[in-house]
Amino acid sequence: MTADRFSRVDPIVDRAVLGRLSVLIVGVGSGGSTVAVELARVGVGGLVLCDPDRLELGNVARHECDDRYVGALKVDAVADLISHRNPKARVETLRTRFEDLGPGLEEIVAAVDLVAVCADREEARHRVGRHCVAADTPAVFGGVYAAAAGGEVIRADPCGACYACVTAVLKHELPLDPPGAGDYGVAAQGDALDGAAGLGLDVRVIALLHAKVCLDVLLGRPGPTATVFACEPLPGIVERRWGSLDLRIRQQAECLVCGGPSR
Amino acid sequence: MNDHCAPRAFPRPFTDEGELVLPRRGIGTIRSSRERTTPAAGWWAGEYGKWRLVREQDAMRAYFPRFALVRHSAQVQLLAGVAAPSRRARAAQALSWVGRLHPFGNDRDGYLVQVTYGAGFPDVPPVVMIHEPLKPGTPHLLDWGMPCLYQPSDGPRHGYDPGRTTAATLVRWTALWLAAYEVWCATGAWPGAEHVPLDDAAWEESDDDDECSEDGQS
Repeated sequence: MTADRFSRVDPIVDRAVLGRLSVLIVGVGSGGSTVAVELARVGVGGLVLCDPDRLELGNVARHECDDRYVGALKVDAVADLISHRNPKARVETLRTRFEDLGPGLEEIVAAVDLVAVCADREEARHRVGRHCVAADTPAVFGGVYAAAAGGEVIRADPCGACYACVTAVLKHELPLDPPGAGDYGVAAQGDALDGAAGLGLDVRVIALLHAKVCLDVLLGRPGPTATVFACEPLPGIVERRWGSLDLRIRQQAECLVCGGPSR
Repeated sequence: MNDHCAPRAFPRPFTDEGELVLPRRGIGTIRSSRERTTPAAGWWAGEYGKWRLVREQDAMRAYFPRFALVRHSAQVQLLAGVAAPSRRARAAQALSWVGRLHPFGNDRDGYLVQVTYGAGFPDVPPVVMIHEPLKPGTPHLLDWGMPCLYQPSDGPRHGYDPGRTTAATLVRWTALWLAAYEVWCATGAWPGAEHVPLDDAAWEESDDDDECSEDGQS
């Protein structure tokens, strides 16, 4: 018996819709690579991968790509994986840091239907988030906490709270360090690429949640603004292993990022 | 003391005679990508930038009306370690707020403070410099003499926030730092805990501006 490779996906999602949509993925490290491949698996038609780094042996334990790809640019390696999961997907690779795209970053953010932000540094996440506000493009941010004991997924819709609004609330509500310089996505310039310790399976749990929220946004499904998921207990926040916390956060009054001329 | 703000030797931007001293070399770690992306027009040129600059000016007028906004070559900005000495970066313009702070409102000359918006603003925080000779061994200083205004180990969400922090917030944090510095000069002990969480939102909302006074510098 033969079947179309998407025969078990089609009853669940409207692949005709997904095939017309495109997603920019900023950072294809251990988390970003999972997000990219999972979105391709469900039939997202266009994927733009942005990352300047090459796969190193130290990445293999957590990255979607194995040691056959060591030395290759991560965007090329992930594009190759995608070609075997969804050959019809249109994949573009940006072999650079997104900061280096200059004005091109604005054009790309405006051209896609969603930005999946898998960059680790907060400055970088704010930068992408601000461009998404200007372009009215939704963005979904993912990241893991120290030792990948848990992670967070933040959804910034054009008509709702922006990333800066959400983090302004999170820093008061959640006594947690935000995702740091692991290799969930790509470290910004000047960051060491050593990556923090953490199990790939924990990173992947968060990345799968990240991809799922991306899918929700693409299909117009509502959802919480921020979700904290605990792979291990997060004292004071999510006490139970495998527990989660959903937060619905409104646009903050007088936000200096999204309260501007674009809204 | 934490490693992040351990005192270290750094070139002072001004000599004791007030002469401007440029570093011989650039800030190597920042050079490669920024010099390709630094827009010569400045971050304030676009629609958002213009709007943001007005918000920054409003905040500074409300809290530090005597501080002056000066436009200058990014080469001067280099002093704060936020730009590279490339041709394009030199051609770029930068914006700084400049003024004097008196931590205890006394009649001394106060401290000349410069807050410079880098090319990455608002995603990257402005850089604060205190252009006065500080005592050797001054604690809580970062590279290039920048005062350590918040605890990096608290995470990036517990210091500068591009959605809420303005230059006025940073100047107020600097005033607090200078007050602590003067106490340290007098007693040898830096007051307070090793790091005090500085809630920028509380700063912005507070009307209690009595802890310091300021003079403009044009």
